[in-house]
Amino acid sequence: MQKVFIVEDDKQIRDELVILLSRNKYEVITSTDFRTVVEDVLVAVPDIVLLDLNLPYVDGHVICRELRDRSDVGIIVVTSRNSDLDELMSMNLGADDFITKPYSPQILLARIASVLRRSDKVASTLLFSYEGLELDPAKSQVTYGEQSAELTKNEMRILQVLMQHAENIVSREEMQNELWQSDQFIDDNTLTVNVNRLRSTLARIGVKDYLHTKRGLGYYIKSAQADESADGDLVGIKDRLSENLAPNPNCHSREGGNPL
Amino acid sequence: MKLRDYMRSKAMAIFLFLLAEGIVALLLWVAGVDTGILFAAAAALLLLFLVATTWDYLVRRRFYSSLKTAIDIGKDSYYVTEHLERPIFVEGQLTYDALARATKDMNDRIAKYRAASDEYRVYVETWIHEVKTPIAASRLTIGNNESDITKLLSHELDRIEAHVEQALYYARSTTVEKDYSIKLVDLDLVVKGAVKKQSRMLIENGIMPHFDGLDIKVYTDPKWLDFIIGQIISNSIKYHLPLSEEHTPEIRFSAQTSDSGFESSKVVLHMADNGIGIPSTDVARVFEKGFTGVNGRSFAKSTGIGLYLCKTLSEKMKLKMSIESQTVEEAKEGSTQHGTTVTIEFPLNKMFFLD
Repeated sequence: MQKVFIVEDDKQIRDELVILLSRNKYEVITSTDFRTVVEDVLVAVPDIVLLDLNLPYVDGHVICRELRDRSDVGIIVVTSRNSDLDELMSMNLGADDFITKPYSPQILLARIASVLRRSDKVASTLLFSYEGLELDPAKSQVTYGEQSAELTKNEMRILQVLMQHAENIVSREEMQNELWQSDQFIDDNTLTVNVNRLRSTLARIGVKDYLHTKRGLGYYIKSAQADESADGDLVGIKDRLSENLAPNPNCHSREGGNPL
Repeated sequence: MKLRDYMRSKAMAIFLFLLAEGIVALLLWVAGVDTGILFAAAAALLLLFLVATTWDYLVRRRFYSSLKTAIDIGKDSYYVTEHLERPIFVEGQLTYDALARATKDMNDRIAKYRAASDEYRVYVETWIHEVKTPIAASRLTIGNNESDITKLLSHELDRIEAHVEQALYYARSTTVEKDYSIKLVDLDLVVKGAVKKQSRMLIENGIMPHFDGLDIKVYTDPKWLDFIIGQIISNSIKYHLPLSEEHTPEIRFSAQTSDSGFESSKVVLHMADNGIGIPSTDVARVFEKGFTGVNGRSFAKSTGIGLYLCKTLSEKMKLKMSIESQTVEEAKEGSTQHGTTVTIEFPLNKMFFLD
């Protein structure tokens, strides 16, 4: 599990970040004593540090430089000042990325994933899987058992989003928005066409009854198997899956941006 | 100071001198003085008078001419006494002292207000950065607790954020010093980035963006341009014609390089929507601060700040911004497309920015 160290003085933001990152399978460490924060980080040996610049007692820039001098941990600077000067200064002090408040959770997660990937602390292939179906966004390929198929960029993105929200309904608008965010500015009709095409591609490799439409609400994925025991033991299924099928159960990272 | 004007202002003195000369001549003549001596005395008097007047004229001309030049050419007339020497004649000295006193008071007062307005601007900017922390916290809280209610709150947060951003750029637009940096940026990246920022509103209203020929680099400040395009998009959303059987709302972004000679080569970005359009009576005034027009009053609440800010920021960055529009009725008469097209021209000559 990747370790994230959060340096943030605003309690509400800190608490919510802990929830958000824990849910996305990160181990989260925080510190509230900003005088010893550099030492705390070094002792914890995280994979990445989320560093707020505006802190009591010490300037975030100073912490950033000290951390960089003594460790090569990934650093993402978070600040509410969005001037070029701030950005330049942070980058010069060795930060790997720079995010301005207010950011959306998706963007934050995407940036964390991308810094981790760049610092080569995560295997470069990011796989998604659900109920035996495996998606490799780098090759835009789906594999089910022995069979596999190529997906178009749109189809891949749709499947990826559904897998990230496995068993939950993703509304058409939300789906459209996700595609827009990766530069695919498709309209409502194209979405329907793409979903249908994805469904037939999946059927070709033997995945049936997988991608469902909830009229008026949106799309979701759920296997027949999961359906039967939906009220019972979802966790059990997931656990079983993770043992048998995928090296990476569920998803490791939610990407807001374009994964390629 | 013209000689004629001077003579006119000295008319009384000249008249009195001539009168005195006449009286002297008359007295000398009555006393039976020799005509030659009489003429010599009159000539001597006249000569002395002319010398005194000429000297007086020259001294005054020197001061008043430089005063007039200083007032005429300098656009900062409140520094006028800096360009002048204190004259040697008494009225000039009085004028000079009064001017010096008045301009000093004026400059003190300007400095005071400038400091106050700078302080206010700094406060507003600080406040804007402060308020971003609770907004960020709310965003995260909403993200962690997705529900129909938080979705609504998320919309409201979008609105708050839009207002906050507008306030930030308004504060920045009022600074005297330059606080932007012109870079060579990818037009495609900035335009699509701005569209993505408002993707939810666009999708909700079924407004489709189209992109054409944006693969061009332009000289601009990417953040400012992002803000400007964002304002245009948000206007297109506010004043769109709703989706129906025969109408699909859209925004078309297109760009061309127009290469009319080396000096004037430029990139032209068009942002065209097919919304309700602006009545021709209002079009000319939309860039005015506080102007809301018919649409602003009847469709969506308008502050009359958005386009004004766009224009101001564009001008600071040396971009030309213009707007054309046709309402549905106007378009019917001329059987053309209704909607609004905003055009931004980016000069491509680097030298343009180096002044």
